[in-house]
Amino acid sequence: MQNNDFMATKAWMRQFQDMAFDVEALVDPARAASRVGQAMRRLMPPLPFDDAPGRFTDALESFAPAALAGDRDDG
Amino acid sequence: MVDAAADVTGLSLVEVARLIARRKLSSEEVTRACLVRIERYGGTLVAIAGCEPERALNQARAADAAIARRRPTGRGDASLLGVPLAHKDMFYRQGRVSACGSRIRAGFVPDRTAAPLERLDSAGALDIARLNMAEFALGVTGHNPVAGTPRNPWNPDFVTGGSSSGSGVAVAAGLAYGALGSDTGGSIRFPAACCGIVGMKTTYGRVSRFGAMPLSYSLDTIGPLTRTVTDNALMLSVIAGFDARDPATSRLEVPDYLATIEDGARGLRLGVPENHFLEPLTPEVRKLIEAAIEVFRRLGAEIVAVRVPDSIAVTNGMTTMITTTEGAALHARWMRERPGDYGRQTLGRLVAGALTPATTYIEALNRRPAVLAEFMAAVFEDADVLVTPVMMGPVPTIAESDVGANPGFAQTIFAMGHATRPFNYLGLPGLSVPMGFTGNGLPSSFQLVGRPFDEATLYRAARAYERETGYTGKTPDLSKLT
Repeated sequence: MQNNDFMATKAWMRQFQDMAFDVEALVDPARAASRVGQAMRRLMPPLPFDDAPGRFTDALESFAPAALAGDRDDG
Repeated sequence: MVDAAADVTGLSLVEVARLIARRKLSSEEVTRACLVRIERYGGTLVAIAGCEPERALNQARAADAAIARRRPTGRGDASLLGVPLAHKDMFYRQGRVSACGSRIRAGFVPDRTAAPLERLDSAGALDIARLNMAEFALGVTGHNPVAGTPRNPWNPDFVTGGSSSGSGVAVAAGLAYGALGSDTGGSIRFPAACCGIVGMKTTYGRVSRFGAMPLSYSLDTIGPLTRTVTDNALMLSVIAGFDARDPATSRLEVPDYLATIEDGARGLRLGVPENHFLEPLTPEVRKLIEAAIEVFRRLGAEIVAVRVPDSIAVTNGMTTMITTTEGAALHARWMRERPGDYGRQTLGRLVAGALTPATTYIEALNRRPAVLAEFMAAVFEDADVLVTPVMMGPVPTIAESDVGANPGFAQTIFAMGHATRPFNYLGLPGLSVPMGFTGNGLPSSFQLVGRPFDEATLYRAARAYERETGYTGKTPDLSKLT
């Protein structure tokens, strides 16, 4: 199993990223990203299928004191 | 022996700007004093990436001439005319090397000038040195095996924090009156906290990143490191604002940060987190932050317990993943062609980004507005400001945190960002404010977090605390360094 992980990671880096690095050093980082994904899905509700996420700066502006007061400078 | 140069360099940025404007001090004598300290301490502290003294003095003489002609080029009360600043070596200036703490860009000469530098230039500030930094801004401790590891001016055996390591050192040691840094996961707040100065991680979109070395376009922010809160507000007032060359910047008007900075803490609702941010905290840092909260209570702030959403627990990891994934995309060509020219820690983190599943990366980005909305509802309906530590324990030594060759380095880096990275993911402003010293003699800081684009309230609260306690503006004794 461990050997399969090494080989899969090596194949991913070589064939899909065109990069060559020490295989053993790559397995933990690969698992770390997957763990973040698992935790994200466990702690947060599913994303809506039909709603585009929008520009993040706009989301921030919607909570800004100045924006809430309608004080906006479009210049 | 009295350090004559320290007399002038011990002034705050606001004080020195005022004295230069009134011709009580010349920009040239102030700049010379900074250059003397750069010469004397810059090498020992490994803070300087480059400095051209004659060029700096020519700038100073030009500023003095402008003042003599009574035609200052500054912006009214926010004028920085003739004030020597120095910046992290990732803010490009056209025609000048910007090495980004790396071997790969050691000879890189940019074709543009960074937007924040343009704005500081137009306010009359001098740019007297390029400051050392973590390699490509990837590193929270300040270690840099390629360009050298800066040393903490409070005790050179201890880390400076990174990645704006040289910025923290230069300001704390009086080599310059203020510095720009960048913050993708804590890179302004860590060096500010480790070096005992004030550092603002601005709201995402508040300051243009045009002409600044990118690490993660989704997370990168730029802000000032200074010795006092008011100095910080003055610098931010100059660099903040919309810039069409950075599509993430906001068109929201930049408030006058100095107009409300002396309004005090009375009536402010200070949120104290019941979960996540105060765990796991070492006892002595807990004691310091509890004392800081008591100061705010005494100043008339209302102390409000808040429970942050459980989703905060994964935002540290999401920030790390987004940073390394976007970093890997930016660095892919050099990772293929010049992997041996990276430090091991930098390369290790970038390689991790090359292994992120694309769907996980996109999902993390797409969730941001919803996670932000949840956090705003949970925290900022009942509070105006949230207080957290910057670091969960005392500043470590360089030796004990030298994780570059350690297989567990990723976990160490992850743990250090416990209280900082969530706010890069959320895009919120965070101000690092000195709150005293731990048993090892090194500074420790709390972080004030605010609503988006509400840096003014953070400055107001921090200034009230600063006035009451006097923990900012302290300078380390450098006499043992030489």
